[in-house]
Amino acid sequence: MANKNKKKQEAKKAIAPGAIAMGQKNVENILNAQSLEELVNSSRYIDSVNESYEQGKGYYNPSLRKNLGSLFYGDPTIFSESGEDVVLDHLENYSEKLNKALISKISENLEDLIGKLDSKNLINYLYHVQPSKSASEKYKDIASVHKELIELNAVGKDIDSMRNYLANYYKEDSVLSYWINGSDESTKKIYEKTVQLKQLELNIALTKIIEKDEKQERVLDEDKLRDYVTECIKGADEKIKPYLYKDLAYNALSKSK
Amino acid sequence: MLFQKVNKMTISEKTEKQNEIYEIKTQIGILNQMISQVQNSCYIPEAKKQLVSEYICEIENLRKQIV
Repeated sequence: MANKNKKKQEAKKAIAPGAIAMGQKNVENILNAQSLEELVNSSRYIDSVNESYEQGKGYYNPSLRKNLGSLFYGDPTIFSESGEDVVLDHLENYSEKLNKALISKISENLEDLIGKLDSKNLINYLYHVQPSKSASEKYKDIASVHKELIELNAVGKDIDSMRNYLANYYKEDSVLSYWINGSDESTKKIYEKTVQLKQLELNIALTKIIEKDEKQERVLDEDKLRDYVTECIKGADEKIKPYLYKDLAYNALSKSK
Repeated sequence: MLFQKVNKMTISEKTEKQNEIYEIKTQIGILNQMISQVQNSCYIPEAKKQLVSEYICEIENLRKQIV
Protein backbone atom coordinates (compact mmCIF):
# COMPACT_ATOMS: atom_id res chain seq x y z
CA MET A 1 0.00 0.00 0.00
CA ALA A 2 2.81 2.37 0.99
CA ASN A 3 4.57 1.45 -2.22
CA LYS A 4 1.43 2.20 -4.25
CA ASN A 5 1.06 5.64 -2.66
CA LYS A 6 4.68 6.36 -3.33
CA LYS A 7 4.16 5.60 -7.04
CA LYS A 8 1.09 7.86 -7.18
CA GLN A 9 3.05 10.67 -5.60
CA GLU A 10 5.85 10.11 -8.12
CA ALA A 11 3.37 10.27 -11.03
CA LYS A 12 1.95 13.54 -9.75
CA LYS A 13 5.43 14.86 -9.29
CA ALA A 14 6.35 13.81 -12.84
CA ILE A 15 3.58 15.86 -14.44
CA ALA A 16 4.48 19.07 -12.67
CA PRO A 17 5.06 21.83 -15.31
CA GLY A 18 8.84 21.96 -14.83
CA ALA A 19 9.14 18.18 -15.10
CA ILE A 20 6.99 18.10 -18.25
CA ALA A 21 9.22 20.65 -19.98
CA MET A 22 12.28 18.64 -19.02
CA GLY A 23 10.62 15.40 -20.16
CA GLN A 24 9.80 16.93 -23.54
CA LYS A 25 13.39 18.03 -23.96
CA ASN A 26 14.53 14.48 -23.12
CA VAL A 27 12.27 13.10 -25.85
CA GLU A 28 13.61 15.60 -28.40
CA ASN A 29 17.18 14.65 -27.56
CA ILE A 30 16.42 10.93 -27.86
CA LEU A 31 14.63 11.40 -31.20
CA ASN A 32 17.37 13.61 -32.62
CA ALA A 33 19.95 10.93 -31.84
CA GLN A 34 17.95 8.13 -33.51
CA SER A 35 18.69 6.73 -36.95
CA LEU A 36 16.07 6.70 -39.70
CA GLU A 37 15.49 2.96 -39.15
CA GLU A 38 14.92 3.52 -35.40
CA LEU A 39 12.50 6.39 -36.09
CA VAL A 40 10.58 4.25 -38.60
CA ASN A 41 10.32 1.43 -36.06
CA SER A 42 9.06 3.86 -33.40
CA SER A 43 6.55 5.26 -35.87
CA ARG A 44 5.30 1.76 -36.70
CA TYR A 45 4.96 1.10 -32.96
CA ILE A 46 2.86 4.26 -32.51
CA ASP A 47 0.71 3.24 -35.51
CA SER A 48 0.03 -0.10 -33.83
CA VAL A 49 -0.86 1.66 -30.54
CA ASN A 50 -3.31 3.96 -32.36
CA GLU A 51 -4.75 1.03 -34.29
CA SER A 52 -5.35 -0.82 -31.04
CA TYR A 53 -7.07 2.30 -29.65
CA GLU A 54 -9.32 2.48 -32.71
CA GLN A 55 -10.28 -1.15 -32.09
CA GLY A 56 -11.58 -0.03 -28.70
CA LYS A 57 -8.73 -1.40 -26.62
CA GLY A 58 -7.88 2.03 -25.15
CA TYR A 59 -4.49 3.22 -24.02
CA TYR A 60 -4.22 0.99 -20.91
CA ASN A 61 -1.31 -0.63 -22.59
CA PRO A 62 1.38 -1.54 -20.02
CA SER A 63 4.22 -1.56 -22.55
CA LEU A 64 3.15 1.88 -23.88
CA ARG A 65 3.14 3.27 -20.34
CA LYS A 66 6.61 1.81 -19.70
CA ASN A 67 7.97 3.17 -22.97
CA LEU A 68 6.55 6.66 -22.47
CA GLY A 69 7.82 6.71 -18.85
CA SER A 70 11.33 5.80 -19.99
CA LEU A 71 11.32 8.28 -22.87
CA PHE A 72 10.05 11.28 -20.93
CA TYR A 73 11.37 10.75 -17.40
CA GLY A 74 13.81 7.85 -17.59
CA ASP A 75 11.44 5.86 -15.35
CA PRO A 76 9.35 3.04 -16.88
CA THR A 77 7.09 2.83 -13.79
CA ILE A 78 6.08 6.49 -13.62
CA PHE A 79 2.81 6.09 -15.55
CA SER A 80 1.80 2.74 -14.12
CA GLU A 81 -0.97 4.32 -12.02
CA SER A 82 -1.68 7.44 -14.08
CA GLY A 83 -5.06 8.22 -15.62
CA GLU A 84 -5.66 7.74 -19.35
CA ASP A 85 -5.62 11.51 -20.01
CA VAL A 86 -2.05 11.78 -18.66
CA VAL A 87 -0.89 8.91 -20.90
CA LEU A 88 -2.76 10.39 -23.88
CA ASP A 89 -1.18 13.84 -23.40
CA HIS A 90 2.28 12.31 -23.37
CA LEU A 91 1.51 10.05 -26.31
CA GLU A 92 0.26 12.96 -28.42
CA ASN A 93 3.31 15.01 -27.53
CA TYR A 94 5.63 12.11 -28.36
CA SER A 95 3.82 11.36 -31.67
CA GLU A 96 4.08 14.98 -32.75
CA LYS A 97 7.80 15.13 -32.00
CA LEU A 98 8.41 11.72 -33.56
CA ASN A 99 6.63 12.75 -36.79
CA LYS A 100 8.63 15.95 -36.99
CA ALA A 101 11.94 14.10 -36.48
CA LEU A 102 10.94 11.36 -38.91
CA ILE A 103 9.90 13.75 -41.72
CA SER A 104 13.09 15.76 -41.28
CA LYS A 105 15.23 12.58 -41.45
CA ILE A 106 13.32 11.29 -44.49
CA SER A 107 13.86 14.64 -46.28
CA GLU A 108 17.60 14.26 -45.76
CA ASN A 109 17.53 10.69 -47.13
CA LEU A 110 14.80 11.00 -49.76
CA GLU A 111 16.87 9.97 -52.77
CA ASP A 112 18.47 7.03 -50.91
CA LEU A 113 15.01 5.79 -49.90
CA ILE A 114 13.67 6.06 -53.45
CA GLY A 115 16.80 4.20 -54.56
CA LYS A 116 15.81 1.26 -52.35
CA LEU A 117 12.47 0.74 -54.13
CA ASP A 118 12.34 -1.58 -57.13
CA SER A 119 10.69 -0.47 -60.38
CA LYS A 120 7.41 -2.31 -59.66
CA ASN A 121 7.14 -0.53 -56.32
CA LEU A 122 8.00 2.83 -57.88
CA ILE A 123 5.33 2.44 -60.56
CA ASN A 124 2.79 1.53 -57.86
CA TYR A 125 3.86 4.66 -55.98
CA LEU A 126 2.76 6.74 -58.97
CA TYR A 127 -0.85 5.85 -58.16
CA HIS A 128 -0.56 7.67 -54.82
CA VAL A 129 1.23 10.82 -55.91
CA GLN A 130 0.14 13.52 -58.34
CA PRO A 131 2.52 14.75 -61.05
CA SER A 132 4.23 17.81 -59.55
CA LYS A 133 4.82 21.04 -61.49
CA SER A 134 8.54 20.33 -61.90
CA ALA A 135 7.90 16.69 -62.90
CA SER A 136 5.36 17.86 -65.50
CA GLU A 137 7.84 20.34 -66.95
CA LYS A 138 10.69 17.84 -67.06
CA TYR A 139 8.71 14.79 -68.23
CA LYS A 140 5.69 16.08 -70.15
CA ASP A 141 4.72 12.72 -71.75
CA ILE A 142 4.90 10.75 -68.48
CA ALA A 143 3.10 13.43 -66.46
CA SER A 144 0.24 13.70 -68.94
CA VAL A 145 -0.64 9.98 -68.90
CA HIS A 146 0.15 9.74 -65.16
CA LYS A 147 -2.42 12.49 -64.49
CA GLU A 148 -5.04 10.62 -66.52
CA LEU A 149 -4.37 7.40 -64.62
CA ILE A 150 -4.75 9.18 -61.26
CA GLU A 151 -8.03 10.67 -62.45
CA LEU A 152 -9.26 7.29 -63.68
CA ASN A 153 -8.28 5.74 -60.36
CA ALA A 154 -10.22 8.41 -58.48
CA VAL A 155 -13.47 7.79 -60.39
CA GLY A 156 -13.16 4.00 -60.40
CA LYS A 157 -15.26 3.28 -57.32
CA ASP A 158 -18.43 5.08 -58.32
CA ILE A 159 -20.33 4.35 -61.55
CA ASP A 160 -21.72 7.90 -61.93
CA SER A 161 -18.28 9.52 -61.56
CA MET A 162 -16.89 6.91 -63.95
CA ARG A 163 -19.62 7.68 -66.50
CA ASN A 164 -19.13 11.47 -66.22
CA TYR A 165 -15.38 11.20 -66.60
CA LEU A 166 -15.56 8.85 -69.60
CA ALA A 167 -18.31 10.90 -71.28
CA ASN A 168 -16.04 13.91 -71.18
CA TYR A 169 -12.94 11.91 -72.13
CA TYR A 170 -14.58 10.32 -75.19
CA LYS A 171 -16.82 13.25 -76.13
CA GLU A 172 -15.49 13.18 -79.69
CA ASP A 173 -16.09 9.45 -80.12
CA SER A 174 -19.82 9.14 -80.81
CA VAL A 175 -19.78 5.32 -80.67
CA LEU A 176 -18.15 5.10 -77.22
CA SER A 177 -20.24 8.05 -75.99
CA TYR A 178 -23.39 6.11 -76.91
CA TRP A 179 -22.30 3.06 -74.87
CA ILE A 180 -21.00 5.11 -71.96
CA ASN A 181 -24.56 6.35 -71.49
CA GLY A 182 -25.92 2.82 -71.81
CA SER A 183 -25.75 0.02 -69.24
CA ASP A 184 -23.44 0.01 -66.21
CA GLU A 185 -21.68 -3.05 -67.71
CA SER A 186 -20.83 -1.08 -70.87
CA THR A 187 -19.47 1.83 -68.85
CA LYS A 188 -17.38 -0.55 -66.71
CA LYS A 189 -16.02 -2.30 -69.80
CA ILE A 190 -14.97 1.01 -71.39
CA TYR A 191 -13.43 2.08 -68.08
CA GLU A 192 -11.48 -1.17 -67.74
CA LYS A 193 -10.13 -0.90 -71.30
CA THR A 194 -9.26 2.78 -70.90
CA VAL A 195 -7.26 2.03 -67.73
CA GLN A 196 -5.47 -0.78 -69.59
CA LEU A 197 -4.62 1.55 -72.48
CA LYS A 198 -3.37 4.30 -70.15
CA GLN A 199 -1.25 1.81 -68.17
CA LEU A 200 0.35 0.70 -71.41
CA GLU A 201 0.93 4.31 -72.44
CA LEU A 202 2.55 5.03 -69.05
CA ASN A 203 4.81 1.99 -69.40
CA ILE A 204 5.80 3.14 -72.89
CA ALA A 205 6.52 6.69 -71.69
CA LEU A 206 8.84 5.23 -69.03
CA THR A 207 10.96 3.28 -71.51
CA LYS A 208 14.12 3.96 -73.45
CA ILE A 209 15.49 2.32 -76.60
CA ILE A 210 18.67 0.26 -76.37
CA GLU A 211 20.73 -1.57 -78.99
CA LYS A 212 20.79 -5.33 -78.41
CA ASP A 213 22.19 -7.91 -80.86
CA GLU A 214 22.13 -5.26 -83.60
CA LYS A 215 18.45 -4.69 -82.90
CA GLN A 216 16.69 -1.88 -81.11
CA GLU A 217 14.85 -2.88 -77.97
CA ARG A 218 12.55 -0.90 -75.69
CA VAL A 219 13.32 -1.32 -71.98
CA LEU A 220 12.20 0.40 -68.78
CA ASP A 221 14.33 3.47 -68.07
CA GLU A 222 14.82 3.01 -64.31
CA ASP A 223 16.76 6.27 -63.91
CA LYS A 224 13.97 8.22 -65.58
CA LEU A 225 11.36 6.47 -63.43
CA ARG A 226 13.31 7.13 -60.21
CA ASP A 227 13.89 10.78 -61.12
CA TYR A 228 10.24 11.26 -62.06
CA VAL A 229 9.01 9.77 -58.75
CA THR A 230 11.52 11.92 -56.82
CA GLU A 231 10.29 15.09 -58.58
CA CYS A 232 6.66 14.19 -57.85
CA ILE A 233 7.32 13.53 -54.16
CA LYS A 234 9.44 16.64 -53.66
CA GLY A 235 6.82 18.79 -55.30
CA ALA A 236 3.83 17.21 -53.56
CA ASP A 237 1.32 19.29 -51.63
CA GLU A 238 2.70 20.16 -48.17
CA LYS A 239 -0.40 18.69 -46.51
CA ILE A 240 0.07 15.23 -48.01
CA LYS A 241 3.87 15.23 -48.03
CA PRO A 242 4.22 13.80 -44.48
CA TYR A 243 1.98 10.84 -45.43
CA LEU A 244 3.89 10.26 -48.67
CA TYR A 245 7.22 10.45 -46.85
CA LYS A 246 6.14 8.00 -44.18
CA ASP A 247 4.68 5.61 -46.74
CA LEU A 248 7.90 5.81 -48.74
CA ALA A 249 10.09 5.12 -45.69
CA TYR A 250 7.90 2.22 -44.54
CA ASN A 251 8.06 0.67 -48.03
CA ALA A 252 11.73 1.32 -48.68
CA LEU A 253 12.92 0.06 -45.31
CA SER A 254 10.76 -3.04 -45.29
CA LYS A 255 12.04 -3.91 -48.79
CA SER A 256 15.68 -3.48 -47.83
CA LYS A 257 15.46 -6.01 -44.98
CA MET B 1 -24.74 -21.70 -78.68
CA LEU B 2 -27.04 -19.11 -77.16
CA PHE B 3 -28.94 -18.65 -80.46
CA GLN B 4 -29.62 -22.40 -80.70
CA LYS B 5 -30.94 -22.60 -77.15
CA VAL B 6 -33.25 -19.58 -77.48
CA ASN B 7 -35.73 -21.46 -79.80
CA LYS B 8 -36.71 -24.00 -77.09
CA MET B 9 -37.28 -21.45 -74.28
CA THR B 10 -40.26 -19.75 -72.62
CA ILE B 11 -40.88 -16.05 -73.36
CA SER B 12 -39.23 -14.80 -70.14
CA GLU B 13 -36.26 -17.11 -70.65
CA LYS B 14 -36.01 -15.86 -74.23
CA THR B 15 -36.04 -12.22 -73.10
CA GLU B 16 -33.33 -12.96 -70.55
CA LYS B 17 -31.16 -14.73 -73.13
CA GLN B 18 -31.76 -12.05 -75.73
CA ASN B 19 -30.61 -9.44 -73.21
CA GLU B 20 -27.55 -11.57 -72.57
CA ILE B 21 -26.84 -11.75 -76.32
CA TYR B 22 -27.37 -8.00 -76.64
CA GLU B 23 -24.90 -7.40 -73.77
CA ILE B 24 -22.26 -9.63 -75.40
CA LYS B 25 -22.75 -7.86 -78.74
CA THR B 26 -22.33 -4.54 -76.99
CA GLN B 27 -19.08 -5.76 -75.39
CA ILE B 28 -17.85 -6.81 -78.84
CA GLY B 29 -18.79 -3.38 -80.23
CA ILE B 30 -16.94 -1.66 -77.39
CA LEU B 31 -13.84 -3.76 -78.00
CA ASN B 32 -13.94 -2.95 -81.73
CA GLN B 33 -14.21 0.73 -80.93
CA MET B 34 -11.38 0.48 -78.38
CA ILE B 35 -9.23 -1.02 -81.12
CA SER B 36 -9.77 2.23 -83.07
CA GLN B 37 -8.79 4.20 -79.95
CA VAL B 38 -5.59 2.15 -79.59
CA GLN B 39 -4.80 2.63 -83.30
CA ASN B 40 -5.20 6.39 -82.92
CA SER B 41 -3.56 7.04 -79.55
CA CYS B 42 -0.87 4.41 -79.03
CA TYR B 43 2.26 5.48 -80.88
CA ILE B 44 4.50 2.45 -80.34
CA PRO B 45 3.84 -0.24 -83.00
CA GLU B 46 4.74 -3.25 -80.82
CA ALA B 47 2.56 -2.02 -77.94
CA LYS B 48 -0.30 -1.28 -80.35
CA LYS B 49 0.02 -4.79 -81.80
CA GLN B 50 0.02 -6.39 -78.33
CA LEU B 51 -3.12 -4.61 -77.17
CA VAL B 52 -5.00 -5.06 -80.45
CA SER B 53 -4.31 -8.82 -80.57
CA GLU B 54 -5.44 -9.06 -76.92
CA TYR B 55 -8.73 -7.31 -77.82
CA ILE B 56 -9.22 -9.49 -80.92
CA CYS B 57 -8.75 -12.60 -78.81
CA GLU B 58 -11.33 -11.27 -76.32
CA ILE B 59 -13.76 -10.57 -79.20
CA GLU B 60 -13.29 -14.13 -80.50
CA ASN B 61 -14.09 -15.58 -77.06
CA LEU B 62 -17.22 -13.43 -76.79
CA ARG B 63 -18.34 -14.47 -80.29
CA LYS B 64 -18.02 -18.15 -79.35
CA GLN B 65 -20.58 -17.56 -76.59
CA ILE B 66 -23.30 -16.45 -79.01
CA VAL B 67 -22.68 -18.53 -82.14
